[in-house]
Amino acid sequence: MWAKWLLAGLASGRVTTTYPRHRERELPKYRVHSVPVMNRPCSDFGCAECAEACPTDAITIVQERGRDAVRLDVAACIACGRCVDRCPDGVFAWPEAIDRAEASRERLISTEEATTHDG
Amino acid sequence: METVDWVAPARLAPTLPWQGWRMDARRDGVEDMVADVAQGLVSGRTELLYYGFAPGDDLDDRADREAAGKRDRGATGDRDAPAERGDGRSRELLAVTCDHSQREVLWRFGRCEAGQSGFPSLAAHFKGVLWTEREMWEKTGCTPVGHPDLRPIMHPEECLPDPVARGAGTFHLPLGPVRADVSESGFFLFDTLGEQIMHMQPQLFYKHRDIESLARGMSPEDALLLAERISGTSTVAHATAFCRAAEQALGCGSSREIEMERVLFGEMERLYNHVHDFSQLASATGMTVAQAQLARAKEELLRLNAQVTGSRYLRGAVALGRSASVDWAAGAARLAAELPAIDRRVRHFLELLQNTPTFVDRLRPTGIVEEEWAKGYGTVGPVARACGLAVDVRSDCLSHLYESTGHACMTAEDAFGDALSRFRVRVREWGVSLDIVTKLLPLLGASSSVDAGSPHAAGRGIGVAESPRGRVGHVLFCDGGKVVSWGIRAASAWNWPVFGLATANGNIQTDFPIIDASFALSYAGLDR
Ligand code: SF4
Ligand code: SF4
Repeated sequence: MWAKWLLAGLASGRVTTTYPRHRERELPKYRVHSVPVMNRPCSDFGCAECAEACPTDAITIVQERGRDAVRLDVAACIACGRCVDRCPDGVFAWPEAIDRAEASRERLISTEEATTHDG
Repeated sequence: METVDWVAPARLAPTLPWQGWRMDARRDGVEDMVADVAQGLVSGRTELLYYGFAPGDDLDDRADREAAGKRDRGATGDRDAPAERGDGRSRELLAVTCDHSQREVLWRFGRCEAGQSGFPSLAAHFKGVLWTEREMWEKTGCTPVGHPDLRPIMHPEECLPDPVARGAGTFHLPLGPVRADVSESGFFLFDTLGEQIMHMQPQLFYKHRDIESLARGMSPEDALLLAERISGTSTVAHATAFCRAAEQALGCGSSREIEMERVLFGEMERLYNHVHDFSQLASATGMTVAQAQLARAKEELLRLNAQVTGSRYLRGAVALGRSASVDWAAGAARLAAELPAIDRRVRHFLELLQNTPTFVDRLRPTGIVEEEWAKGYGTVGPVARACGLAVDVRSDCLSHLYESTGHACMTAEDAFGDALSRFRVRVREWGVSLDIVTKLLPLLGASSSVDAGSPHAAGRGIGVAESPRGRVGHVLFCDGGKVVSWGIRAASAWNWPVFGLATANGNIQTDFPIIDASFALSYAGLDR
């Protein structure tokens, strides 16, 4: 029996990768995966398409330092992808991998200017 | 919002999944209703699809209710009992039962008198709702009178179970909520005597999101997104049950083509879940080669899901009142090309496992669920079928949806009710699911949508689906095109209460990972 297991194990060869040196680029191929990030500033807060489309109010248009900003709270996000699909400006995008970890609740909230640590 | 009489027949539209079934509704006084439902369940004549409160004026303002709940707990400082709130609000119990011999689904509404702060406990007769009534009590303060084990259940941060076994040599071992691997959060309190487990109490609700309340006021399309996220590994089952309920409530129904796709997605979901469970069992028994190889097969299935539908966990595949946005010409070809190789490898490792004495010996007779418990607690899915009970909505209620493919309910041949029987049920189901997928592939392709129904109608609906863990039931009340009330009954909600019993049924501490893996319970499904 044990010989069979040994052979069965060896027969498959190696199928894993050497993370993080070699990362699987699987996710970007698919439509839905992790929570989105904001990868560029929004040029037209008036449209508010993202805030209207978001089913869980994870996206809101807020006032920050005296001007409008798009606020994304990924703790409330259910990764439906509507913001990625609907924003005419391409502000929202899917990250390449699911490896985001934050140490505090506040860090899960990003506004348009504070997006540099994402992705 | 004006009061709607939900019992009226006009509130219920006949839909395709329930073809050939009669739907009826009745309102009685709560005592008569509970007595009747209990009698049907105990005699085995009926099966309970859903149990909870019907929408009433106490459910309209969630913020108000939450504030009241906080005040009550804060003011009394009493963690053991939510304050009584028999405040004159009208309240109705709802039990949806189905009678297979009569092919009838019955909505039983039980009216509590105004000011009545309690209702007769159904759990006193039918143990399957022990946890449900604890939750109902904690949420509303309405007492299930006669409940045999009334304790808080929903706030583990405030109240954890107490040990039961006492005396010389007994030891109390708390485990969780954070555990090895990427398990969901759950707390287990073991009372042990040496290695022997004397008693085990699970405590969940670490991931309670109150999804049912979050959906109130949402459009069914948005609520469907929440339904998909109740439990990631049962995305399709919950989405399907929700859509079937919503389509009945909105009066739009579905079509053969739509249902055929849902059946296919449901079986794709079962395939990757069962392989995952095989892999977890192999891990629990130290069979590392099988664990790794089966985990690899699961990953291949997830990638296949993503290639066909765009989502590894099949999110977005089930849509309300229309076919999936899937290119079936390419999708079916890919599935037909890749599934046989995965199947060959999985069967090879399952064969090896079943011929390895160290694996089989560890599973038999571990974590036995007595047939009497399986019946008394209304268990579902592979856990029930491993006890020889032919419980499967695919053959009970929805058989006509499987006409073109056939479906056989797979019970265990030996019906021992232990981890090995559960493993063998899943092995047999692997073959059945693959067969259904293979037969459906050539039939797909015709896209279909149904008339959206009247957007302003008030209606109710019930939807069921067989998830990899068993029957999922959703009850939905809609008014003006918005969700008024939603009730979710995940498969694991039926199986969790027997898990502790099976764990303490003559097992030792090191059996626990095996029992855990063989039950394959979802925490998020119960917590929701
Ligand atoms: S949808 Fe895009 S462009 Fe419109 S407000 Fe949102 S981020 Fe700005
Ligand atoms: S993915 Fe969906 S839930 Fe998340 S922020 Fe975008 S719209 Fe909102």
